[in-house]
Amino acid sequence: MLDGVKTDQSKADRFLEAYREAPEDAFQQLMNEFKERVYLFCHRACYSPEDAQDLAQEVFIRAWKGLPRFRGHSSISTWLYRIAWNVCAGYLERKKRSVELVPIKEDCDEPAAGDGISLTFKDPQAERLENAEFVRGVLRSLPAAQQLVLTLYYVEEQSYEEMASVTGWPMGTVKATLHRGRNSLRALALKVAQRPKRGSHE
Amino acid sequence: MSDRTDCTKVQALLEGPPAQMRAIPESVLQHLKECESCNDAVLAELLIAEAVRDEPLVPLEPLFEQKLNARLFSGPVSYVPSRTDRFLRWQDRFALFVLAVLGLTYGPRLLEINQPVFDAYSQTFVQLGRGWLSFADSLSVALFQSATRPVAVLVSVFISVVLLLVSKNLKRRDALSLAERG
Repeated sequence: MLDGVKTDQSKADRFLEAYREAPEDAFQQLMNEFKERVYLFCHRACYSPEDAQDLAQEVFIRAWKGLPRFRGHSSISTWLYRIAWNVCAGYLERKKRSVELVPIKEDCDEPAAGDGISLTFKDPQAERLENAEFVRGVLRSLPAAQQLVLTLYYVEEQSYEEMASVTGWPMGTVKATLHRGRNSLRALALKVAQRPKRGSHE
Repeated sequence: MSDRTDCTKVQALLEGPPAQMRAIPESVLQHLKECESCNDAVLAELLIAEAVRDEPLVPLEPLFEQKLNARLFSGPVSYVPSRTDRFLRWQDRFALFVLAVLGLTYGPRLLEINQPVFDAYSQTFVQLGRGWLSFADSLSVALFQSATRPVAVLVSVFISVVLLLVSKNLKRRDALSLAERG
């Protein structure tokens, strides 16, 4: 899934060349490449498949309208996620939620060690999925901005510079947001990672 | 016993870009077998990455692309270039002119305004010396004399409205065909 995720400058140039020759075809390719990821990104802002699809459509419509002004100074991915960020921010504002950097509560709702964890033997694959779902539960409880930044980091594998460009935030704010998000998830993930060993001892 | 240097390497790996986790060096892998805390930290990081990346989503609906394409490339009339977006075309202007004439002619009568008032009102137009208004006045007098019943007025209004609707429909059809041609 992550192969070819990184879009670089030459890719932006190639895209622009293709866009000049056949705008609709080039845009179609762009859409095919990014639609699932943009949908996932938008889903993080609303957790509603219908709303996420509407937001994703809005992103691509704005992208199509904005393409004549795209000069290739940033990667296609960064440019597209900048639009997606703005669309999601607008959505969240409408929903009376803020995408401002909201400091995470120190006592974030982390399940206590062993919460909901069964010590009986399980299929490793099923257990892995279950563990991921535990972590996802914490992810959903994070402020929207942290979820979106975490998505840019893990799904798009964007650098701090790229994330700063997407969010329009200073680099320090991006780092702090990401750090807080990762720390919140790490606390639970560590407990989950240690769990099988405790289970085997008991 | 694990080496502190190797623990530092793992720490650097965890702080680095996520892509690094896909190619963990052999030396670090060896260290992970020996150092439980590093192993847990790496497992936790992999778990976080998986949780963020592999969100189970309802698949995009099959018509997502078609809908988007329809919105983008054959969208609503407002996306059509301004050539067909003139505010009023000749049909509209003609229909509005007819409506205006009818309004000036029959309005006072329908509203049961008495004749002297209407006369004063038309005289004012004449006195203003505006050519087109005196023409409208003459026309209104002619229409006033030829029409015998208010039903005629209603029929005229109906014809004007139909003209307006036909005009709007033609305009819309032109715009859509233009959009289809791209």
